[in-house]
Amino acid sequence: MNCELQAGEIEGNDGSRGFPSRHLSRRLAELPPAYFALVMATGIVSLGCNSFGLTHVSRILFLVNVVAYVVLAGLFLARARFFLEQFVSDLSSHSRAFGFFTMVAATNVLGCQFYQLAGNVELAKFLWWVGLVLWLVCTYTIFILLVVKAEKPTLESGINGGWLTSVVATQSVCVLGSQLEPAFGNADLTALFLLSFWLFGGMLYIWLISLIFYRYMFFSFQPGDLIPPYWINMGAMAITTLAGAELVIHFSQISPVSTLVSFVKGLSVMYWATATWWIPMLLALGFWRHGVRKFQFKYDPLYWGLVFPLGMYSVCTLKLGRVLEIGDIKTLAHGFLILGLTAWMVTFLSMLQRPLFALLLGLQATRSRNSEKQEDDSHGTSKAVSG
Amino acid sequence: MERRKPCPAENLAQGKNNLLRESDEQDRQKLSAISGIQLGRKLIIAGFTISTAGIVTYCLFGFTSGNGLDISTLGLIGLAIIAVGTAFWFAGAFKYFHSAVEANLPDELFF
Repeated sequence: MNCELQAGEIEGNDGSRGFPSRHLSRRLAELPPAYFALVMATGIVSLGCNSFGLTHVSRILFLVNVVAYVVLAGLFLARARFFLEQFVSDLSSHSRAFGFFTMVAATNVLGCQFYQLAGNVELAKFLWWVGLVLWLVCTYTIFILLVVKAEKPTLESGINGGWLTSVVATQSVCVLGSQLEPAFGNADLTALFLLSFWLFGGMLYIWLISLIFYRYMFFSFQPGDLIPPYWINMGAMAITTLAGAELVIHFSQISPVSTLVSFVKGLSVMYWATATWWIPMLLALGFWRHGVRKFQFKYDPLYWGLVFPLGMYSVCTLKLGRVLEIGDIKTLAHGFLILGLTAWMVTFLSMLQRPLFALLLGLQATRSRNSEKQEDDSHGTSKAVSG
Repeated sequence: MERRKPCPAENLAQGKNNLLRESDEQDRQKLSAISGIQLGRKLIIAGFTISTAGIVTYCLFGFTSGNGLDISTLGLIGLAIIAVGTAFWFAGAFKYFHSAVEANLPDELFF
């Protein structure tokens, strides 16, 4: 049975192809694979709040995140069922495929929340395994599909900051794995496994950022090209710093990390410095995009890719300060948590505009249908009377 | 008493008046939609400003109490301010979109 539909073909309950149904089905068909960045962003802001004792907000965000994860998983499954063609074509799209890596990071961030906020080790462990499987599937599907693809875009149009989500996904496996260290049996093997993830993630960043930097410097750059996931340039380094700090905190007595503690600390500082370097650069580019070139701000799910790095920078700065025993760095972490929370709120409220708009359209459509029916009825009655 | 049938000239005048009334009505609807959109926008901005103030208050007092201690009353006031800001924002968004939908403006203008 062919279950694929074209955008706009889901019919209303009454069989009519009303505006709201078209509106929603079009949204489902175009659902960006990177939408799980919503869970990543909400999760990291929640974890940041929890680290600083802001438990009320942290718990509210945790609840929001559980709902968001379940809803998004449902929407992704519905999209794979009804819009399979678009779903599969996204997997081999240079500009959209890397969005699927947000599923991996979102799963691991949610696992961290279950571990830290609910103390649910078993569910956190389960989510880590799910994240690992998703990481394997995404890594060895997307990279291979992009390699063997017959027609490829130019570097200019093909690459964007969203590619670095693959680094974030890799490091997220390391972060949750490190936190769950006591729950794993063989500590040495776990340490080696997670250390390998951390090192590979760092290497992947170096490969990808070289291409991104090359694209920045040698190709034309328009305001529309500066999509929000470019903030992942910074976010990928922030999560790499966090993963390094977690390795030191949880495995400093366990080989092989124990023999490499100084190396891990040194590289973590390098990653943190790189993340910090990106911040003024991205702010200046954002000012150029919206302030100088007057690029209109409209809600786009990709803005979640901007919220996540802000929250992650706060958490990684706090953890790095703890590892290096620098207490004063906490103020910087505080500032970025406030920014992250504000950015989260703006993006979340802007996201709710769409369902609100669809609801109002639905109400209007029902109202106009009712009034049309009433008109028809009265028309029929007057005809009968005159007849 | 039987009503007199209107002559063609009277019919024309009546039609013209109806047309004028319809165009007035449309203009009035459009004006009302525009003012609704403007009010909605103002409420959204006010909601954003109030919520941001609430976040800053909540965080600053939360950071100082921190370390597992209960958040201070001022922190809870911050939470209440966030809630008020969010309510403003919702009211604004509702007004904005309701006016836009009533005026049949295309959704591409907003999304």
